[in-house]
Amino acid sequence: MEDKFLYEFQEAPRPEFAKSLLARLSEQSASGPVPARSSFSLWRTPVLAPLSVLVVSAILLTFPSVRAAAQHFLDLFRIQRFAAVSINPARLQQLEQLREGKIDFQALLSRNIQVLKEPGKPIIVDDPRVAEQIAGIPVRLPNSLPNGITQAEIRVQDGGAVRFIADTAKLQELLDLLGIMDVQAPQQLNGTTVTVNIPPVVSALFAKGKTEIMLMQSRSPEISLPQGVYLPQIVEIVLRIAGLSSDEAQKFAYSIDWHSTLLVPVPADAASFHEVDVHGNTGLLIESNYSRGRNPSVLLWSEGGIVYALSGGIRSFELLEMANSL
Amino acid sequence: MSTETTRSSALNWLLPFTSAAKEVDWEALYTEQLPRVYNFFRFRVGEGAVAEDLTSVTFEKAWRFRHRYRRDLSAFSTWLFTIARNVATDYFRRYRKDLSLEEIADQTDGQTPESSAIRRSDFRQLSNFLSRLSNRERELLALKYGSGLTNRAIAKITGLSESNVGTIMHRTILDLRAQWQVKE
Repeated sequence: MEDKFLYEFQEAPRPEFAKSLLARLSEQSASGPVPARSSFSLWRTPVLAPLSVLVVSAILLTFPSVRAAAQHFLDLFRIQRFAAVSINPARLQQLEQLREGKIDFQALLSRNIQVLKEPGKPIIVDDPRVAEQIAGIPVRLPNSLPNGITQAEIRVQDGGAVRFIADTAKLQELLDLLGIMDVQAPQQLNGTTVTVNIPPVVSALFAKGKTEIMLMQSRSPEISLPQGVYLPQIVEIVLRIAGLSSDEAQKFAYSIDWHSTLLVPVPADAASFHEVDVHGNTGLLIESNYSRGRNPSVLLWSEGGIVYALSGGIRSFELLEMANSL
Repeated sequence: MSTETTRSSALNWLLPFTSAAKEVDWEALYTEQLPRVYNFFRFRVGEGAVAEDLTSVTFEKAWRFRHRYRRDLSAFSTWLFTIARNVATDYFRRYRKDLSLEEIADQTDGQTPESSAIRRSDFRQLSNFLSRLSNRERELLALKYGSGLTNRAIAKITGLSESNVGTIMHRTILDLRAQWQVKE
């Protein structure tokens, strides 16, 4: 394709313009530099992001092909709270078959699930400042909305907390049922207590007709684990359950610091994903493989210690524009 | 699904706040990026005062929010062009709704005294062709031929897949090339 002629239309800016703009920027600098933020330390603590697990749960449940199976699969993830994982369609089908055989996945993986704090019902507020006061976070809203879409409402949901105890015998039972014979549930995990604290979540809804866009924001949730729990070992098992090969799961599980990393589950047959830039931060854009409007795309990113999830049945670049206008 | 890709996505999503802020040589970046942003707007809105104004707005915003940019330098242009795209979107939303295609093309007023009359005439013609493209097609062309970005970088900025960018670009260039040849 002959396209070189188009490059020839590039032109240098006028020197006077370049100089005067630089001078203006320098004046801004002299009038008050913006302080660099301190490095955020929460990610160094045992933290994962149940918010995102919840968000991804919501995504999955919108995909007709995986809805029923995903519901149960995600319940399983909610209980584990350790990591998200890619979902292999074949394995998902296998899990669905097991579910139809009346296997209770939830009971397979843990016992003594204790709700320490109920999250309560969402409260609808008129003013984002009220949401800020309730949630204790700075609430950000987009300045740019796709054509015709307007803000519908803001909801705040209080945080919650749960505790559960791992049962390795039941985990081994699941591995056996799935035919994963080369992995043993680590006995030292048996009886391990895990506590999950989920901070308040602010959800802003934007809508036009049947098109809805949801922006969720929350501080990062925290998961407390007893010392001595070796997360890569657990992650490897989760990845095997999700359908990764032994080599893939090992390579993956042992090359990441899981104390600070969330792996987002994406059903391979229902959605695709790639990295995007949001305010200079790398975000993850998950795009539904189905037609626009039927299923939402989701944009996930973290900024200033807040985890954001923006989802809606609009085009990806519109989601990105919204996110970057926060 | 590529596990490497998945891992990379997850890592990069969470890592920004673990890395310490880096010092950025803003003046060097300004020198490097100014022509790219300026030409992005020339291709988007035509040359002249409007392109300069929008370039100024972009850099002023970038400067104001520079504390948000503190990661690897390679991501800088992605961030800057995200701002530039938003500036262009705002501009079209606020000021260009009621303009006809001819009026848009007529705004290429050639205020660069060093340019030759032929060159200005050619760019005016090109702007006329560009003004007939869809918003997305024109934006992709501006990012590639105005700013000199690769398809991969454009995909990252726009949220489109790289192959999608290539496909749209190829189709658009064929149309544009045909129009250009008719003009010649």
